[in-house]
Amino acid sequence: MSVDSFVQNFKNTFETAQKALNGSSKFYPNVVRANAFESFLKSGIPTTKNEEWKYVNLFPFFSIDFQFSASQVISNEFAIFIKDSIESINPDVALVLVNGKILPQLCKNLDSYEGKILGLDQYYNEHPDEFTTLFHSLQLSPNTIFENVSTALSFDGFVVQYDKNVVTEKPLFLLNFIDTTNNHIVIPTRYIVKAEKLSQASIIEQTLTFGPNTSLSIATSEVFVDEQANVTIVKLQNDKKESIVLDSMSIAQKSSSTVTSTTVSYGSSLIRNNHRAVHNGSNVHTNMFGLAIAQDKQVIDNHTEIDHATAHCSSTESYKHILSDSSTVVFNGKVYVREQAQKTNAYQSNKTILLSDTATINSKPQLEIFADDVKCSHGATCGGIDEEAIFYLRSRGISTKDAMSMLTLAFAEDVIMKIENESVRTRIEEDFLTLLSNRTK
Amino acid sequence: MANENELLTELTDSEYKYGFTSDIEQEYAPKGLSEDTVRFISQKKNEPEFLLEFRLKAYRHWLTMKDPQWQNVNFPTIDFQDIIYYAAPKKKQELQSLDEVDPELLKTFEKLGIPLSEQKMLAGVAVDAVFDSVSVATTFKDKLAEKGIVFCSFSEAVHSHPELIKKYLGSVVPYTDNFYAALNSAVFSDGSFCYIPKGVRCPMELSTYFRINAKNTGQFERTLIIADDESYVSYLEGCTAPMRDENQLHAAVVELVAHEKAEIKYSTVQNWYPGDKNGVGGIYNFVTKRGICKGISSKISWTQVETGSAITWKYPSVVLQGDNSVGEFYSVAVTNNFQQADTGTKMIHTGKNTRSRIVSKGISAGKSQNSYRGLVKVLKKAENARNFSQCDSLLMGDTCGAHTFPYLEIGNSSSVVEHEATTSKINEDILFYCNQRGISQEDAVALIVNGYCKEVLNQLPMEFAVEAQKLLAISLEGSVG
Amino acid sequence: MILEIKNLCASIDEKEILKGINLTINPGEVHAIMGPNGSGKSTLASVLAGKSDYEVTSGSVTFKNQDLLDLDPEIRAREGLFLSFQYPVEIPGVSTANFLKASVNEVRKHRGLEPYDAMEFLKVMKKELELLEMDKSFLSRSLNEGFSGGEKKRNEIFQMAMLDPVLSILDETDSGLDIDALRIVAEGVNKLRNTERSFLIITHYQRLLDYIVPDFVHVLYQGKIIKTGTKELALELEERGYDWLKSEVPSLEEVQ
Repeated sequence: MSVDSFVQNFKNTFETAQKALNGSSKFYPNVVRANAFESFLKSGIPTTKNEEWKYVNLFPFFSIDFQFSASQVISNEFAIFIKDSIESINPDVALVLVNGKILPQLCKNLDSYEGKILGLDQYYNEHPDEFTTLFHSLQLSPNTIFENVSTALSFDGFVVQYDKNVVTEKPLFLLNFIDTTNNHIVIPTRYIVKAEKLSQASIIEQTLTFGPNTSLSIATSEVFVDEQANVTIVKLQNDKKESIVLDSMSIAQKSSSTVTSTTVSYGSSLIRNNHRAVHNGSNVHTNMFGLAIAQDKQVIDNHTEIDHATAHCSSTESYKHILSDSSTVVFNGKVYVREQAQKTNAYQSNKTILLSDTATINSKPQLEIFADDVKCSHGATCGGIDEEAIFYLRSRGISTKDAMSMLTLAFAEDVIMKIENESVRTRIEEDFLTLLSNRTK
Repeated sequence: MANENELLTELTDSEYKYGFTSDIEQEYAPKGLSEDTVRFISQKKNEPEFLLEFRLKAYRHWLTMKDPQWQNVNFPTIDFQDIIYYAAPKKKQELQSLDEVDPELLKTFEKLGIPLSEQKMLAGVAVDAVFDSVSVATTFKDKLAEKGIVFCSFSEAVHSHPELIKKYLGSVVPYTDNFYAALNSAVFSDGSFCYIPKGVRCPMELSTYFRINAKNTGQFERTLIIADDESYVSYLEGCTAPMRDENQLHAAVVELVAHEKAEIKYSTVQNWYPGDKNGVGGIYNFVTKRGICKGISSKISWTQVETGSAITWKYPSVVLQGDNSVGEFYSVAVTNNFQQADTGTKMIHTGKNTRSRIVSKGISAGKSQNSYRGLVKVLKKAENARNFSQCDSLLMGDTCGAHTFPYLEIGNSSSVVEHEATTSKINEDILFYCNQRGISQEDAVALIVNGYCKEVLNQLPMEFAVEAQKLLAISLEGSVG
Repeated sequence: MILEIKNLCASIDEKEILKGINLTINPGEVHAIMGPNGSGKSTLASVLAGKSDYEVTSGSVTFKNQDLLDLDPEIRAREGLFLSFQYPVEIPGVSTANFLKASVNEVRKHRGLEPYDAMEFLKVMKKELELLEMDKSFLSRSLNEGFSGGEKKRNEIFQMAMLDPVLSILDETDSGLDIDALRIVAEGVNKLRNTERSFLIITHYQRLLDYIVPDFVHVLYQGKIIKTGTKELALELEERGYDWLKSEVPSLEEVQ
């Protein structure tokens, strides 16, 4: 099987869905879907000749025969998996997707949640003008590739809406369950977050795959943050090894808004994140944090982009990577400071620890600056664990193994600490220590 | 603010002082590029068969290539058939001594401040002067020959040391390397050749001075420097061109080979005509420079001060093959008006315990764009490799841009790679402080810029450092308020 | 007279800071300006030195019979107006010696004197260094880079000595200095005192004035000089604070 069959399956799936539209092809959301469909057919799956995909050869990953249509029946085993997983995560509020579709009966406390969840088409019917300015509006770059796949197939897409002045108390868990019992499966997901003026919200995302086959999650989200709103997004990418994640998030921020995004990746065989933020107002602040722990032959690729388009804004970006075995990690952090974005303050840091000689880090911090009254800096370091520090700990009676764990955790800690939700944080720390102790036998 | 604008205008009006042309009888190849052009050049130079073969292979390969588009510069597509690939001052017969060089030519170099008569020379610098495509004079040849050092024009070396040329030409930059390297390999005209024998420390700075004079011509020099075991050489390169309102292409290739414990220090002060204040004219400087640290404990150090050219596009690189070898790159790149520079380095660590250091200082003013692009690659087998990179950008005025594209590709856990980059503007408070001590705005800028570039300028040999400092001041005259 | 400030008003970002300053300084006089935080002391120093952030909205300043406000900052410096900065800047890569050579020779050129050559300059520098008990190693260090607070301030006084100004403005030169550094700085100033040179010392505390005894003490409050006296006034301020003065000028409070 090959890339061609992926494209063919995608084509068939879209065309079947298209036929089922029954003449509503002029319906605006469907027009956007059709355009995205065409765009993807034009670009195809990127090769390593594409600078944006230089270090990740997707072709081996796409050699699996992926199907686009999931079974509508939830088997007993899958139902138990879902139930157990939700119990262990124990969210206060949860939006549950099963094979890409919202399953209301599994969702938790959504009725009392301060935010509103609407289907994309429903949102369009209620706010057509607004919708036109939002949907797929942040995906116009020539590098938009898999974003087009999720948009084209966004029939189950949704909008999370926070009205003006709404301040949520609990984070919203967005749990995406995928069943691969019958075949390798592609699940596109597509959503929009709309945080209106002075609202405050927090979203925690996680995908959980069940079954022996491989899942391919193609997730695309657009996050619109209005004046003085504050949005926090945590992506916990800890799915089982038989999974691939292509995650794209585009954030647009208006004046005096703050967005903090923290992405922790240690699952799946391949994770590719395209996380972008663009500023459309003054006093905007963006925080982007990332932690990747890669093992075996895992590939984790973090592409970030912060576009300072307006004056008096700031951004802080910190990505930490820990690599062992034959894993590969890619970091490409773009920071643009446009001509009119005077007084921008942008800071980026990318630090990597290599624990093995067969792991590879490819780091490309990238500053593109067109304004003069700015303060921008980036730093990238790469090395092994400090031998002297290990020796110091050992001389205090700590074993090499514990010393390694301690120092590696310390390295990762400042990213983990950015996550406000304690249960998620604890979960990561525990997983992290397990990963380390398995490694340093 | 008004003050700032005035000064900016003043800056853009500062003139290129090397912009004169010389009236010298020239001999040209027919315009355009074909196998015949390649054969013409080879024949003109009376080259041995192997070299013609090399050129033809390169030419045929070039035909299969497309000109690259990935760099962060913009310019109209070059019509490669509209360029004259060979221009040379007409000479009567073989020159026996400097006295026989066309006096007009000697005058040109005098004007440039490069006197070629040996008695007038600064002690300690031997010069090879390349006018358009041809080396016109090499000084101090005899003195160098005593030590067994070969320093002559490339064309001459082809005849006097064909075995060395055959062995090393294309060994660091193969003609397949990139579009412009292929083009250069097909049509290169002349350049410098230098061989330092085993155990010899070259007693003086070797220097090549490049001058483009003729219209519509491209300049394609080829420089090859070989430092045998435990030898040392410091080599300087300077460049200027007349002011013309068309763009001229300069596509040189420089290859350096450092054997065991040898050291090559290569310094460039590049001041090709940058075009006028409206961005008309100027040199396209598309150069491939690469050195290989072949032997253990060898060292190659690149230092460049780039102030000229409409477009500069070059990445002097080091392949660190020998264990314990060292690669260095020190760069100051200044862009003003409509200049564009995309420059940086590649440090490829393949040997164990190899070390590299990158210090890049970019300064952008006017409407210019200045990019640092660099690669640090550490292969799995390159245990204990070390790299430190520092890339700083200074912006003057709000219509220019500074960009940083570092690539770090690290493949083992014993290596340590560190990269730091900052972008800022000239600090108003520092300017005011200087003013308060009686120093004018312009002098303050020069002072601050020289301080900012000090780490790089310190790497240059004395005579060059002084020239480079002046160049910086001229290039940036009044660029900030 | 050397300096005559008449009804000077100045603002920054449209906020008025100086609201009509009147001050006359004659050759050889030492004036001290004291006042609480935010009263406009540093603004006055910056305006006199010509910092462009401040806009002079009205009034005049005459310096050596010229309109000072008409001169560029570097011309003011060359004419002999020196400002010792409250926060001296760091200039990476530029050695103190090189910086000063550029500065001193500009000033000399302006005054019709021959620029110093390297040797002469070194000699003059060393002499002044000794005066301020400074180690000559710092001449080759980047200007103020990595200097301690005290070293920076001493460097300012050292530059003052080198530039031979007629009017020196010391903007909170004493802040952040320990008692030894304060003594050295004060001695440096006192050695430069003569019948020609004048000083304007801006300070928050009376302590410096124990060492540099002023001829006049002015109290700056809310952008105006509200009281002028002799060195006893400084002592009184030290004891009683500024509040008793504030009550003497109720009209100002009311304006606010």
